[in-house]
Amino acid sequence: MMAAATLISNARAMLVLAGMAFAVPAIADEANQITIYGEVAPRCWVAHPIKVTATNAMVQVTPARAICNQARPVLASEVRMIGSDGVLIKRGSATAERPVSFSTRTALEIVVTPQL
Amino acid sequence: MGFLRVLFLLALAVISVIASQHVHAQVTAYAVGQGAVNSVEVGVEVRASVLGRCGFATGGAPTGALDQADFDQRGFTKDFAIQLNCTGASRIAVSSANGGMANATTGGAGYQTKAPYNVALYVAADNGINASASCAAATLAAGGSCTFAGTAGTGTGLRLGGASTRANGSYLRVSAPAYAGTDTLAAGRYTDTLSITVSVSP
Repeated sequence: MMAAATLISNARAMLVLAGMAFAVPAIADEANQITIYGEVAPRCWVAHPIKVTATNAMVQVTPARAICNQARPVLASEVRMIGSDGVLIKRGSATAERPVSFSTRTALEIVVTPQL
Repeated sequence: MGFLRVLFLLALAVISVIASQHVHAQVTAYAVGQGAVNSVEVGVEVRASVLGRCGFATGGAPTGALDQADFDQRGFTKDFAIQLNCTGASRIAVSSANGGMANATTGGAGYQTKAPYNVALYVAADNGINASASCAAATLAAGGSCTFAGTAGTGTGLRLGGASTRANGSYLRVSAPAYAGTDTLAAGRYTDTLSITVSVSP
């Protein structure tokens, strides 16, 4: 039976495990994504709305601008004829009503809306 | 001459034997019962290095989506949590596909089809140090000037100078105030995609 001996070199054993990465890549890049959605609804609005007051001395006309955010706009104009007692006499399309039929007190309403 | 040659060869043989003994000299260590018990002292020098491990922790990657109606009027803000799993310093970078929220339709004079928004990063390490930065999405597109624009690398991205292996409150925030641009933002659906990458940093 051989002697159960361990033969060990008399030289110093040097075990160098240099530069060994333990199952991990040097640079671990991972890509992940975030998606951002947003909705801009079709709408129209009047830029810098103002109240116009007309006087006998001077009629101030500062045109207001109706803006739509590139939606298909629909434009409608309507006249409101008002009697001397202040009661609404008639309401109709501005283009259909003849100017001669306007009473002395008439209001004009312009409506701009996006076509949905 | 012959004597000298013999002498030279003899000397060479002696040196060889000595060298051989030095190299192959052995010490036998006996186990108990197998001889005189002795011991041999052996120095074993072990050197090993583990390079940095870095990535997103499981379930800690910033993913998901934000969908905001009427964002031009309401604006938006949302945080996406980040949990890193980096054993050392790291860098995190973000890139934007469109450099803003883009609408596929054609704009035209006086109309805008790309909406701006902001991206903010906050990352914290296990030891309490943190890093943060904020940029407009426009600077996150390819070649953008944001400090964390692009794909994370050893020199690219917001650097966090410490290990981060826990939930430390890191996040990516996307936000935008109500649109206030000069040109009207065209109606429609807008979208952008952010890609977030992380890397070890020397």
